[in-house]
Amino acid sequence: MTHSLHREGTPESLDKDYVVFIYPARGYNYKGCAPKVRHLVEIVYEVGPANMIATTLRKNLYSGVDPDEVLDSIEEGCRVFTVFNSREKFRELLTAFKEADEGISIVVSGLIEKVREVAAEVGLNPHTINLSLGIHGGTEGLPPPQIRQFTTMCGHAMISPHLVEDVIRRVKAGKLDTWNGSITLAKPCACGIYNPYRSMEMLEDLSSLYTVSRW
Amino acid sequence: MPAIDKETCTGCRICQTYCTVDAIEYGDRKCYIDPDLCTECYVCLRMQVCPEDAIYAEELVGFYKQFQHVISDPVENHGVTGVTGRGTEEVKTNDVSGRVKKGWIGLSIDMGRPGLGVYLRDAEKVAMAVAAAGFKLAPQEESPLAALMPDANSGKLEDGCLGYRLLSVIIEGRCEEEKAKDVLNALLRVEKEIDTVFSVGLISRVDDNGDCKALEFLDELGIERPHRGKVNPGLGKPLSLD
Repeated sequence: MTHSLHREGTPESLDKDYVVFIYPARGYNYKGCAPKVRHLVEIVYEVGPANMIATTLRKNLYSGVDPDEVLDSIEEGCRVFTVFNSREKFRELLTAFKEADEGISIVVSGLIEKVREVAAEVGLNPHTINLSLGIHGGTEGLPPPQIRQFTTMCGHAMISPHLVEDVIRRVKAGKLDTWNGSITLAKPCACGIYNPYRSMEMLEDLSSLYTVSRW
Repeated sequence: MPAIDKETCTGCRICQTYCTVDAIEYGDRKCYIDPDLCTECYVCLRMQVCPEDAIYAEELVGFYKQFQHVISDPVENHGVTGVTGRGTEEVKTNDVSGRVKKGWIGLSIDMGRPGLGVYLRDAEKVAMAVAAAGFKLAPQEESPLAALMPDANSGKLEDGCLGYRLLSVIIEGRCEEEKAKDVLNALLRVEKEIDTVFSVGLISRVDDNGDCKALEFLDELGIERPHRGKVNPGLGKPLSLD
């Protein structure tokens, strides 16, 4: 699963986008991991995520789900995907995770230098890194970068480029505000790592300039 | 697979807005799904996008059809690896699993991504190209695509699956650091022979000084230094020191 690795956008925008995974390792520390994962999710809630999902429930932050329902759903093998919209929150989270010392794998996806900077501040030296080497092949068939900055926030490609265009069109027409447009775009993302705060800013930037036709 | 009931469909075309790969066509004032283009991602079904409830699921007949759906729909759990999404843990638990060790480089080649989809015949071309350059493709326990690969040394897939289109699928594995340049060169050559795109993730251990050798040979190959990445800060236990 590399669904957070290849997000696109400007460095300024990507600096407001830190994806964090809580990931028990199958065959290593699955057994007895549920209370540890639960504790880490409690920390996530305390810091304040921009979005989140637990694989045992599959309801993102904007589905109306109650935090207790998410916490109660956590069982052995549960993985949690979450995203934070500021460097400060991410730093607070990583500090708390280090102190919690639950022994569950944590992975952070973002601008590599920024993530390493924060890790160093917290006193962590990375064990492993996965670097995005970009898109190769028939790239002429891709939608334009302005659309991809939205669609790549769901790395499984559940968000259709046409849906992005439709939301931009509705925002431009005054039929939808940028927040509700972002929530509309976040819905198909089954992993809960679509960052609606970043999306809202991108919609604000684009809706005054970008022209879209229906097909 | 998803299908649209002709009687119920009003031709509003809302479903086309949500289709991830343009597999929903419009004709005679009705929408219909092109089975050759559909990747079975089930967004149209899961999101209940049709106001008339005209979209319904038909049985997925045969192993390849089920494989297509399980890999294309991230909600599904892959039976062998036990992982959702495209079914692989890759670097996320490397601090514990030690899947990519010091002196080795891992690659996750995300075929069809972002958003173009991939026919398995193109995944086979890429798998065979990197395997021939010395890349050790991941076994079935780690990577779902290996279930279609009778010989992991060659990267060849079963002939029967080649015409199936997936939303994306990951080719993954590892090689010794000294072979990494050959493997990346093979990728740069085969990218001209496929009818889709792939995104590449390069996985490496970080040494005690925080350095990563992989960056040096990226410079030699003229590949731009990456600005995005995933960092595993080593909070998992028991920690793999290999």
